[in-house]
Amino acid sequence: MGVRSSFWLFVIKRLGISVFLLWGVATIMFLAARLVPGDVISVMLGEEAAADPVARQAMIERFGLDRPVPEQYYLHMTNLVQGDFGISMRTRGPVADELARAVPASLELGILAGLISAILGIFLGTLSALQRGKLADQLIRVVTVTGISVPLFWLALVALYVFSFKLQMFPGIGRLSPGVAPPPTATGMYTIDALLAGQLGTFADAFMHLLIPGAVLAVFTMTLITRFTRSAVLEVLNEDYVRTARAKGLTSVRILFAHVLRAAFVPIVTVIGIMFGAVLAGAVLVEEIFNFPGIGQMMFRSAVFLDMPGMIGIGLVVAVIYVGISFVTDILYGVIDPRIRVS
Amino acid sequence: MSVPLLSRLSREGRAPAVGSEPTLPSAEDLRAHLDKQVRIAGRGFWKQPLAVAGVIILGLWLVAGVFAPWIAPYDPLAQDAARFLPPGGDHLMGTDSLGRDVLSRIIHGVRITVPYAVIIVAVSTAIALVVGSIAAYAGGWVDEVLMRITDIFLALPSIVLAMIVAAAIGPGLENAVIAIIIVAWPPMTRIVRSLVLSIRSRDYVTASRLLGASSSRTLVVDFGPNLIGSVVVVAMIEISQRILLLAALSFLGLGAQEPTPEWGRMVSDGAAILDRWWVATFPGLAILTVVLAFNLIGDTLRDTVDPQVSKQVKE
Amino acid sequence: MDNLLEVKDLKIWVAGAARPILVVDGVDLQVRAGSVLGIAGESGSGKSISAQSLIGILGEKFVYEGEIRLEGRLIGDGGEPFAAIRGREISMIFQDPLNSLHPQIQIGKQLTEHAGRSGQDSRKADKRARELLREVRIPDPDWAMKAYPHQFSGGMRQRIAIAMALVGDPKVLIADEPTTALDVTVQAGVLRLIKRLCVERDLGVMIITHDLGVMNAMADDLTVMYAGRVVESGPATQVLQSPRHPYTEQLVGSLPAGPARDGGRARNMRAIAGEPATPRNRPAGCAFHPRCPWAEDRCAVTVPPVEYRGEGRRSACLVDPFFSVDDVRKAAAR
Repeated sequence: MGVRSSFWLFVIKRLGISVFLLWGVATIMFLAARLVPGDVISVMLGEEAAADPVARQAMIERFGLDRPVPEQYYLHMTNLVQGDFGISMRTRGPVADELARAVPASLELGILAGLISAILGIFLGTLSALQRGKLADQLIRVVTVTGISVPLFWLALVALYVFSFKLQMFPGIGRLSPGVAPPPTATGMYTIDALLAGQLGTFADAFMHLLIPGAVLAVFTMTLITRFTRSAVLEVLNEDYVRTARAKGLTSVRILFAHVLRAAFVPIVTVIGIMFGAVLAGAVLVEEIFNFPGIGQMMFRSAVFLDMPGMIGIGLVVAVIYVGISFVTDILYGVIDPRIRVS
Repeated sequence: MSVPLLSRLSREGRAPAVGSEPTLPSAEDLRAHLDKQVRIAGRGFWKQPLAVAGVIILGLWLVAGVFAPWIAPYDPLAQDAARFLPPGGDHLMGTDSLGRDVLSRIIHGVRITVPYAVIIVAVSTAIALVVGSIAAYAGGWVDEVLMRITDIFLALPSIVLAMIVAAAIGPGLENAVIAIIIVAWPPMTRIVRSLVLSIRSRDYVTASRLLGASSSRTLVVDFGPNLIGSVVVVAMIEISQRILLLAALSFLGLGAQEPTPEWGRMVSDGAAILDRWWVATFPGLAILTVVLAFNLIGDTLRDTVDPQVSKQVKE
Repeated sequence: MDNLLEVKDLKIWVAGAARPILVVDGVDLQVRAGSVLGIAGESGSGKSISAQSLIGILGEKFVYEGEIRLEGRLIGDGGEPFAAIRGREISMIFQDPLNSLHPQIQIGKQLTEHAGRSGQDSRKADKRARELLREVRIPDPDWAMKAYPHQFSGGMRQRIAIAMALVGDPKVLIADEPTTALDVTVQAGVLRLIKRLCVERDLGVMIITHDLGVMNAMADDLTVMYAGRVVESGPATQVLQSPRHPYTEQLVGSLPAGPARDGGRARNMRAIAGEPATPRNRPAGCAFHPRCPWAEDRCAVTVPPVEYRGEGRRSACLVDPFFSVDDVRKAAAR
């Protein structure tokens, strides 16, 4: 019982931290939008619309811009809590609606990229640790140091040019080929929706469209997971209990899977959680190049238009995902490692 | 503070005789010992082929940047040649959409990328040193408040926050630099804080305190050199990521504007015209090689000089 | 008496920055069934490395040379592979029971996972694990099987580690500093357990420790190592009571409360002067000569051979300062 209640206490505490962080991010957004040099309304609406007195008045009322700053802040926060992110000056529509379409697309891409980077990263990192100092380790080191050095937006262009334009191995841009109808919406993720509807052709097409951007997005995170796995495995390999396992006469395969990776898994899970956030960050640079309508593209286009409501909305959604993932990994950490669960 | 050290000494069997002061190593001894360790580790640096490669690549770029006006075959802004000339002949890397020589623009680009990245890291590190040391030294609620603030900044991917700040204060190279500094100081502060905490708990600081050194003397004399050494290593790694972020902001249109020969900006010029591959490919390679050079140097420094840092950075 | 485990002229090198370093230099060891061999020495004397080499878990950086025989059969290089020996015929337990059990795997699983290959089904293995836990005096074995290591005290964990080492019914148990990390009050219990298992199972036990008090309580035979070489060996009580090697003599003298000695040569506790030699900077000649009060010029030149000194005792000292006519007379009278 003591175990269980302290675990829930840990969950609640962690939840409190998450809420605090989101409040902090929302506050930074408020400050960013208001500490702007010049006319707030121009920034929020764009020069053109700000010249229109009707739009101006609507904006002033909506955000209480004629009222004192604390009250504006209160309005800002209550609007956000109700899911009202304001009107995009780029699309002239509610930011929340566009987000609802963009988030599933990015999640789909992000999950694929996360899977690719986790599988490759854990494999390469383990190999590198087991071969420490040998050729494979050196080669993997060259690969990872290049991986964290490459500008993703450039890599995306090169990949698009090579695989779609020159080799024609993959479809080019977008989520589906021209003429392929989107599957009926259930989750908003085309691959899953297509499977749910039994449309295998659509699934294959959607999947092929995900593969190249997914692989590009995976590069950076894969290198980080590789490095992290390498050091985690090396650390575990030095542990006394691995020596005990060898002394017991277990085979090296069994030691690797049942003992080493099991222990290394705990830190690796945390880093994979953080990595998923990094994938979202990379999406900002990569999605536009593949004309993939996720939150990355939305962020890119909002930036080009200097669309503050759009950017703030995306920033908050990304923060929710980011904070949510670190919450989940922290909890998972507790579930996996019995020592933490108890203490 | 003195109790753990003394009890540790006596547990190791070198129990001090009753009534006499234990002989502790002087701060000078300890610093000499540390210097020696760093020198020994530093020797390993030049034996690493990858690190040497990094130094050479970076050296070439720096030379190219310093002597850019003499090395570059053309004026980076001159629109003299035909548009989209493919690489070869008079223009080794071709020309861009305005007929400017891509190679000359890349060579001049080093004069933007590297100095601005250094400024970003220098300023954010300076902020981090102050805030991180205050947090570590003050402890208690001061530490708590400062760390929670950095947490908030870290609750967003740095590029997203940098974009929002850059958009709010207006696009432009200088504003992009400010935006990046705003996102760069919190992670650096956390690293500095944990470095200070771990250095402070090391025996030699405890020892110099026992010798009667004042707190401020401890901070400046005993700690300074060690902390700075570790921070330089972190900063080397940091520079590479800040170059990427600056290039990314320019690529997104929030950083350097036309006609500045900034590499990220140049990649975005080539993004829409895939068949004219050279316009985007060469500036991208320039970013890759400079960042790679910093990473190779920083990585090796971290592994050979400062295992302490590699632990902090990993977390 | 027949030796269960016999090691002859064991040499171990470790890969160094420039060239391999000889960390163990010509060590001979004998373990008899039903008796305890103690190996004593400071850290860096090569005692742990020697022990780990006997089951081949030293990692790739190490190379060994020498003859290891178990019941007369050659094992290791040129003989039966270590993989077939460890856990089944020779088991080992380590210093830190906190870290020598996997923190995330239930005790029961850790006790049974290496039993499968001897053809037992899992229920049998389970039952056997419970019996072993009972044998090492773990209260409530049923609960223990499902618990994790952190739920036990250090002493209990070491008992579990011992049970784990017994799963394969080994003939030899190597214990590397088994009680160093434990509280003094718990130490005695674990030592008694090892001694009891040794007698009941006719187990050959090798205990490695720097703690001569443990040796005095446990060991039948004692081998003292310094800087990778054997300096003295023989029946434990005699070695401890009347050391023949200056290093052993000083080691015994450094004990806070020396083991019971019939001669009544009361000594004050004193530290051995100088820094211990390590294999990396082993002095020429006798490795102990820079710290030895009896050292002569020749000690810095010639490596002393391990010589027979009567009554099953050997020591490696050119000077042999504790040679006494009484000892010779006593030996002759026998």
